[in-house]
Amino acid sequence: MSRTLVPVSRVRVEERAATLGKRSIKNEAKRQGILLATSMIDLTTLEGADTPGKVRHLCAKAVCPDASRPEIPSVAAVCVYPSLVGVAREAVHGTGVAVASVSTGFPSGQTSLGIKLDETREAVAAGATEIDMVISRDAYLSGDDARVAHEIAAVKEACGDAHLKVILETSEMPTYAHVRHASQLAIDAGADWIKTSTGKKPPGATPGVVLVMLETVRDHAWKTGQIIGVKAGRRRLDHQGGDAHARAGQGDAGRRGADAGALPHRRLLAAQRPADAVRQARRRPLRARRGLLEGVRP
Amino acid sequence: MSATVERTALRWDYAPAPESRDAARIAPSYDLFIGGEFVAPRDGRRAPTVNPATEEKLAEIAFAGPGDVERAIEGRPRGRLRSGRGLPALERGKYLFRIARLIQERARELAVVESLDGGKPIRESRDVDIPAWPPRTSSPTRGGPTRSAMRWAAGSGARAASLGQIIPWNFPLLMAAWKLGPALACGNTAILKPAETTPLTSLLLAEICQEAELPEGVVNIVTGDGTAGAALVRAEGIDKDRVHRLDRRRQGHPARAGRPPHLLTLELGGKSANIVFEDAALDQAVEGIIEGIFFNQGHVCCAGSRLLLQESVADEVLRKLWERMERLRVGDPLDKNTDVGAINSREQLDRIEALVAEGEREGADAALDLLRAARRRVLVPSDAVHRRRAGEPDRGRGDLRPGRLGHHVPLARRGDRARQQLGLRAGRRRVDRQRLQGVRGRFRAAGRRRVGRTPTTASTRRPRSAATRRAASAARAAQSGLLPYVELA
Repeated sequence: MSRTLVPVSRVRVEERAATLGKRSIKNEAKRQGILLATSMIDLTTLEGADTPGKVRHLCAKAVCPDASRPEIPSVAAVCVYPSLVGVAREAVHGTGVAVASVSTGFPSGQTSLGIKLDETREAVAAGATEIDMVISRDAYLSGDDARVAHEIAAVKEACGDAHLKVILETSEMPTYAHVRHASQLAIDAGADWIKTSTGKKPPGATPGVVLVMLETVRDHAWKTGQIIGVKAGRRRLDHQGGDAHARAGQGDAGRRGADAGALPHRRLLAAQRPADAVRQARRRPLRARRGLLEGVRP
Repeated sequence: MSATVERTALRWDYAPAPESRDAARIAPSYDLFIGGEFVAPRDGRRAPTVNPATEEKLAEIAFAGPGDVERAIEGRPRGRLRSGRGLPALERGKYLFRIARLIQERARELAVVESLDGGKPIRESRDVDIPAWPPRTSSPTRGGPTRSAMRWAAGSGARAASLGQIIPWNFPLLMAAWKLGPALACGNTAILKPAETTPLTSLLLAEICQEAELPEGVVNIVTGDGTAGAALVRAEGIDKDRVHRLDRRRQGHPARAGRPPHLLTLELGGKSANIVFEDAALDQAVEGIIEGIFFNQGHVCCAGSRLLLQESVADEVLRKLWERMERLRVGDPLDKNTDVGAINSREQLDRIEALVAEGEREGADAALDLLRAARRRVLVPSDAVHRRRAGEPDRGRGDLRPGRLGHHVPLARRGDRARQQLGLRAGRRRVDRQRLQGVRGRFRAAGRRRVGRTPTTASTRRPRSAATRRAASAARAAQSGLLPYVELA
């Protein structure tokens, strides 16, 4: 099966992302930006060593990132493995913080569709209101777009009312054109959000990748009016959009998801006009109010 | 567990982030830099140079007359930096590197002064306008000839010559470096005349030459208006002039001055066209268009001031372009988040406004509304838009004929076929790129004999990586940029 990629120029994407990264964010803008970024975080733990106690601890931090600074809002959600959804659900009950769960054989996605669907249903039944699925990269990379789309649609159905975030794992994609193609594929198959990466593989969510995804989302919104969320996964972006990890010379990207102290913007949304944003925010608390990346809006 | 923290609708925008002016030490008045020292002009003429963003006076600048130019010519040490008998190439190289180091040390000061005097956003003066010559490679934004090209020039047996160099107001410091670097590398002496609206960074460069203990009179800087420029172009005792002009209305334009008594290189601009085909990466093509026309407030001689769109993507490109234009941050040149700063001078602003008014009378569309809405003093230039059907050869109107497109044509497209169909010819073509190579291209273009062609040598036929090919092409081009100096021999 042949696919047609929409061309994307790597050099210009990276230039544009770098220009945005060089913006100076100071004083009130910095304060507001940190608050906004915090409110968009999915505080995450996805380790073999996760225990109920660790998840409860994470949930406490999610609801109140810093007790000495009451102005800092709760994060958007906690994100855990399906087996710990129940613990998280109980811990954040009534706080407005959502429970998200990875699913579909995270992070590799190398399992059968039946198991993926069962895992999804189990997580939703345990109280997850957001599902982070991974696409079948084996299918995508071998050119089988139809299978990728079919799986997304099936998982979407299994989600019921839960939001579906589709993880593209852009770190495994050869070019930005593929990022754009996979984004559109996921959107067309029914994704509520598209997400860059699992965080298990460097380099994760680079500014360029996020920019291309935001542009895809904006074009989709122009065509259909539907606004799709974008989540930058598991790579800590500092408050200036640069990459804290690259600067620190660390290979791994934010094992603990967002440490509340670091306050990255974990959930980048398709930027919206303020009026739309407010409306959207009322309807769905987790929808972002406004993207941090300028330059893109539906 | 604490209580629910209420989610409030957060608003977010950039706070003002002005660069500090403390780094800029501007003297109340500046003399001419002749023979290694600052001297008052003979007829005592002076005029203020202003910050175009606020029209605040920055300093009094000496205006050189013919007498001062004569003094600079007489005082220059003929042959002192001369290859072989005078200063050997190695010693000349040491001066160059010393000057380059001092420029780096004072980079922030130079950037701030450049923004104050010329109105450029500090983002650009900081990232683009500080010359690093001779650069190791021909990096996209640093411009100028490479080290290897300089080495080649230095060893080429160039005769020590006396140069007059007149530079424009759009890249005052960078252009000064582009002109002086090769001149010094080839062992010439130079008399540089900066534009009357942007003399300050050249004068700081004069201070740097003093500090580097460059032999007296090798670099002379005569500030002033067209009088000084005309005197320089007509002067006896000059071997060569490099003139780069943006203002065609002035009297004394060398092209009109009859046959000058010496060699003359003119560096001119044009109404360059962006051409976007349907198979382009559209979002990035828009970025290219934006950089092409808004970089440095559009004060670029090869600015992409026209836009030719294939009909099938015209609407989409225009929508994206419009949306992107609305996000340009217009404002204080010293703010680090400003994309479009101040128009260089009152004179230019008046001219732009007159052109905008004329465009409106002739029925130009909404782009002009945006321009009018922009603050009076920071008006932005606009693109003229043409649509074109695929493959339409356009013989009738001839828009695509050479000469109509300007000398610098960026293409947003991935293939070559349509280009050939259109019979497109231009001095410089760029596929998928506009500004980055464009600015660098300015320098190289100066030395080109055959437009649009790179001389092929045996070595270029070997299969090499794209990076190697680019480097080789840059090296060749950098050499050709130096030819006008070497050919003086």
